[in-house]
Amino acid sequence: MLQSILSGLEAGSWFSLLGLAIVVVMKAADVPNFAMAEIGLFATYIGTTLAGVGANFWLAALATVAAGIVAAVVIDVTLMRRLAGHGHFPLLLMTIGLSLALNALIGRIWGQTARRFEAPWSGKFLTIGGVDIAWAQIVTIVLGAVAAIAITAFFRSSMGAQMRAVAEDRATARLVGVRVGRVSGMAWGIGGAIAALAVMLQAQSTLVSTHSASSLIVYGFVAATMGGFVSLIGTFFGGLALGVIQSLAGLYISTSIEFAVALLAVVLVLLARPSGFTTGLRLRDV
Amino acid sequence: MSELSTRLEVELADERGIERTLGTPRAAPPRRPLLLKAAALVLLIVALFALPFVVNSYLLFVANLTLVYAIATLGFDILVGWSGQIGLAHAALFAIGAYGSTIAYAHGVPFLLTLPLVGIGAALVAVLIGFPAIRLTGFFLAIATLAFGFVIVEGLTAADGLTGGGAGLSVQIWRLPGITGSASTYFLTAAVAVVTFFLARRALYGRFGRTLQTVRHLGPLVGSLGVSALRYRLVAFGVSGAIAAIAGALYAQLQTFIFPAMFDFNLLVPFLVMVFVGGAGSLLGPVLGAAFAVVLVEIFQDFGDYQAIAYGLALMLAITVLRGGLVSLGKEVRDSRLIGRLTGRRAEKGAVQRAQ
Repeated sequence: MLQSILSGLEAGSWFSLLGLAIVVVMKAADVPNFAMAEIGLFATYIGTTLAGVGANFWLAALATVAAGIVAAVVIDVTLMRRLAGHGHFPLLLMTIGLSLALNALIGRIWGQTARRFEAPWSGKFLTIGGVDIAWAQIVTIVLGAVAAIAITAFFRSSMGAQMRAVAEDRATARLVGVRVGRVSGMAWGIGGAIAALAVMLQAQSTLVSTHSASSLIVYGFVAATMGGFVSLIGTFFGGLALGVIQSLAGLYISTSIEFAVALLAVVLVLLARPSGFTTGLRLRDV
Repeated sequence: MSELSTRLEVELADERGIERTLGTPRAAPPRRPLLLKAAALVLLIVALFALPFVVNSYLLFVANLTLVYAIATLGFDILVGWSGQIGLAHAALFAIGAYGSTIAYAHGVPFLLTLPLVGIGAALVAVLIGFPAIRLTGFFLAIATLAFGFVIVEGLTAADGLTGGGAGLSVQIWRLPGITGSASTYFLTAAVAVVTFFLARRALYGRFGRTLQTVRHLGPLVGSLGVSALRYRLVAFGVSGAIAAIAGALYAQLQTFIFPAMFDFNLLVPFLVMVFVGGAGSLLGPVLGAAFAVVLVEIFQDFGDYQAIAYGLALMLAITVLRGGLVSLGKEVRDSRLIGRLTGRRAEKGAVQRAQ
């Protein structure tokens, strides 16, 4: 029970982080990015490749985050910016196409075999009161919370205020002197970094592959939906709750049904609160 | 200044982005002379039904698959293109048709009867799935319906006593006396396609289609015109589900072996490609989209991953370059500056004065 809540929180942290990456890009660049998990996977594979040729773990981790930032900014500048202002639905389709192509491209380059990102703490356990807790889980949960707090703090800074202004109304933001292009590039960069972190954390605890990326993105979107695509706090706790629900469903019902149960839980949340479950609680950051 | 102001205008028009993708309301095509229309229709039907006698079995399979996809895409287009709701459970409804018909036929129900049965069943399921549409629109509806879709596919895997689970189910082939199974399936598919497209044309260019588009544009405001927006939205879900399931039943006959993983995201994305590459909100669009998707699959069949890359690129290109899909290709080319210059087309008289 405790063990599965912990692993639920761990998985929930991945979902939260990916959800946060989606929400950040949504807030500032107004793009619902379905290709987020592939960006993270691409970055993680670069990291594992570096680690494979003997690079230091910290160096590889740094390279992963950097690759995430670069990939996301390149996608923004080359593909998405020309479509700015075309509304959500065309952009969603665009990123679905992008995720399909990127996924296949990654499979082409690195193959379909699942990979792992070995960390110094991989396979080590902390024993508290007779319960073994993997260090990987602790690292993931703590890092997830730290990242969420950092992003929330960032959105309260001046740059964050500009992002909120762009999200609120692009045209007016530009009229009062906000450099919309730079803000959108920044948001994509942050989103890419968080997505890289999410997939990297997943990879240091379990195996990741092109298949795991396509299921991770659904969870990330569901987490973002729980926050109504605007609330960072709602997304963070939504993702954690999603992880715990699916882990408990796997424990008490069956592991093959856990995905379905998690999604059904979301449908219920949506029906009860159609624009995210924290609306009206005055948690919104925009 | 001018660049800034145009870009600002583009951004101010953001709210209408979805309208631009889905196209403006379609007027019914101009009425052509009745005789010409009848002749074209007869020619088309004769060509459709003569095909098995002239082509080899591989081409027949390709043609059959194109027709099945065209039917399914028509259903998807009614929901996404005509009524403007992003329901993403289409692949799952297609699966309900495939499994429902296969299982019923194996249990002794006449095959031709299973088609309307799965149609009705899937329509009911689709209306249930569409129920969140009462409160949700746009994204949230997309996520909710996607969730239902996944639940259905997971359910097919879990109910392994009936469906064979993840290992799959082999399909009992229906055949007309005297001809092969694949030719029988083809004839049936062609007949269903002709009937479906005929009915869809009547409905969509008539009162039903116009009301659907009004609901899409005005939303709940149509209540003031005495039209229940909710009812039309749910009917769009139901019709789209029924068509998906009937196409699914035919697809099962064509594939002869079905398993749940066939109907997950890997089918949903091609459906989206077919709708938008073909051109949303038109009747010819689904046919062109289906033909495009099938040809793409067949060309890249031996290249594995390149197939997915090609799909992704096609979707991206359709969104960025060809907003109206393949349907609008002719018009785009005709209206392009180069062709205009080559053919010496002049601006419409008075257009300049009006602009000033």
